[in-house]
Amino acid sequence: MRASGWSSAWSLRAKGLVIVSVPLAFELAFVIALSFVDNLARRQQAAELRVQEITAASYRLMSLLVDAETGIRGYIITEQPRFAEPYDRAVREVPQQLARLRAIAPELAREIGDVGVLAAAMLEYETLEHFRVSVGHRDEAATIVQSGRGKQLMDAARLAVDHLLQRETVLAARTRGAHERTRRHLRTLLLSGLAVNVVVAAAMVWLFSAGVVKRLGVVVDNTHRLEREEALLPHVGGSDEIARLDGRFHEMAATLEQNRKALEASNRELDAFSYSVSHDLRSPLRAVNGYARMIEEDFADRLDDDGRRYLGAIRGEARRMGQLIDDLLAFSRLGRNPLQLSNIDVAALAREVLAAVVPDDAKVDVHVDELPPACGDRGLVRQVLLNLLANAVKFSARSSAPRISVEGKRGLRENTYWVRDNGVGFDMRYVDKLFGVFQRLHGGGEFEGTGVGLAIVQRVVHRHGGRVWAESKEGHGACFYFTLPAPEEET
Amino acid sequence: MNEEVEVLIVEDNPHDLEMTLRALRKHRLANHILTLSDGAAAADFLLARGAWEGRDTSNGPRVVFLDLKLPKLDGIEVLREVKADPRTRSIPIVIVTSSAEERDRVESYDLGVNSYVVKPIEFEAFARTIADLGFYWLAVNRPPRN
Repeated sequence: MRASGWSSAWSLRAKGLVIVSVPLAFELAFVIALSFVDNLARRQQAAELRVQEITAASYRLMSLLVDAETGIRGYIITEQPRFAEPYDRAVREVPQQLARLRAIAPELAREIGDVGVLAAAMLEYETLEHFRVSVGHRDEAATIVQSGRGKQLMDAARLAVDHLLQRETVLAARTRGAHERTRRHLRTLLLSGLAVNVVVAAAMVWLFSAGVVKRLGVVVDNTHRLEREEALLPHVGGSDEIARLDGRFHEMAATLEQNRKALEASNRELDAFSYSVSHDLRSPLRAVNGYARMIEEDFADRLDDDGRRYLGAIRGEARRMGQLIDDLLAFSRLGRNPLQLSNIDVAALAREVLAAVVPDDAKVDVHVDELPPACGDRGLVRQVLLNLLANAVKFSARSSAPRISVEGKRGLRENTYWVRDNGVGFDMRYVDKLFGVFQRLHGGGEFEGTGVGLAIVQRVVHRHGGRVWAESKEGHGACFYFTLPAPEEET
Repeated sequence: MNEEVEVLIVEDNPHDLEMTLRALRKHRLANHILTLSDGAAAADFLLARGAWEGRDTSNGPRVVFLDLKLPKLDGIEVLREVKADPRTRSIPIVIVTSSAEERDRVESYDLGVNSYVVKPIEFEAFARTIADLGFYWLAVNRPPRN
């Protein structure tokens, strides 16, 4: 697998951080952009409110001035002070309205100033008129009214207010335009941000797949390959945790392979060893045997009974040593070949073995019970039965009525089998030595044997995961038990 | 040196050799026997080389008893050389060895051995086998020429 940049160099922690933080950053950017949009809307609202307020204040100002003018005229005609009330109100409120306008729209200070100057001129004119009437120069005041001075001033004021409102309208339009542009920019920004986010998300999914999922898949695949003893895929590359895991896995597999090769080599050595044992130990024995025989034949007339007996002993021992070599080789071979498991009809196998080990002329009462089947290596289980039954035949041969029986009992996971005889038995004090290699509880003169048979029995049973044990009472026979795995449940 | 050799025995173990000769002698099969104790000498004799330079190869032994484990050249090598040479290919060669290993048997037959016999451990069986072999190859079997 090719390692593509950060996807294999960054640690999983860094990848996780990126995978979590990139969308988070986008979300944050969106929230900020949305707050801008919100703020923009609020500012637009404020701008509209300002137009309304300026308009309201301007109209209020105008109406104050108009009312005051009308009031003064009424006062000039009637000389009744109550007509002058709007004038008083105007004097009081006009500065307030001007201050309010200035507060709302400081950038319109010049226009407001114009309005203020004209309003002040208007109020001054009205103050003078009011004064003239109040000091009894009503006619003079009326003349001035007729001159159109008030109307002149009023028109100018109205014009200034119109101008002010016009300016405000222009400003509001400009503000609105600016807001609209900003809004459009924000929308473009949000949409392109969304698009970038989608692209980034897709890229991250792809990179996560290439950098994590696929590479982990390689590691998982390798575990299966190791199990099936196939060649591993090459290193995933990179320097993150997956690369380290993959690297360690390759090292581990290499170590396993090394161990396997070492084991094979030592098995080969063992093979060569048993090969040379079987050849190099045998030929001297043949010579010992042969030369003893040659003496017997060629020097028969010069040998007495003792001489012949000694030669017989030499030959017998040579033969026994040959048997020992054979047994030892058989014993060492037992551990090496893998078990070939199958379901075994133990009763049939026992009958077959008995037929082979019981001499035709022997008067042995043989009984094979109904036996549960076992799961095991047929050749090896046969060896177990052969050794146990041969022992039973051998050690019961001197009984007046030899009896051998094979019995069994079904268990949960393993079945138990036992071979019972009524032979000489053994002393239970030495039961621990029974299954050792070359261990014999009877003298060589009493019964023949090399002492390997029961060791083979134990080794075979142990390789099947079973147990083996024995019970006896000297002179009253022996019973050898062993367990073997029960076959898989037939369904 | 040019005296006819009926049986060539290649055996490095003097005791095995003595027992072999004794068994053949007992059955009067021990005339014209040549014994050699290493594989190189055996190959030289059969292929008329070295000490046997100029020997008439058309007058080969009627049977060769060849051990496998031999000094210098082992039995398999001797067998390979003899069976590869058209002059000596038809000489009957019997492997007489302690090895019952399958790989030895397979290799010997692949090289064209005429018989493969495992030396019995028991002396009696050994003597009987050697006598049977001598009887068969010298009295029963008919060689290609003569």
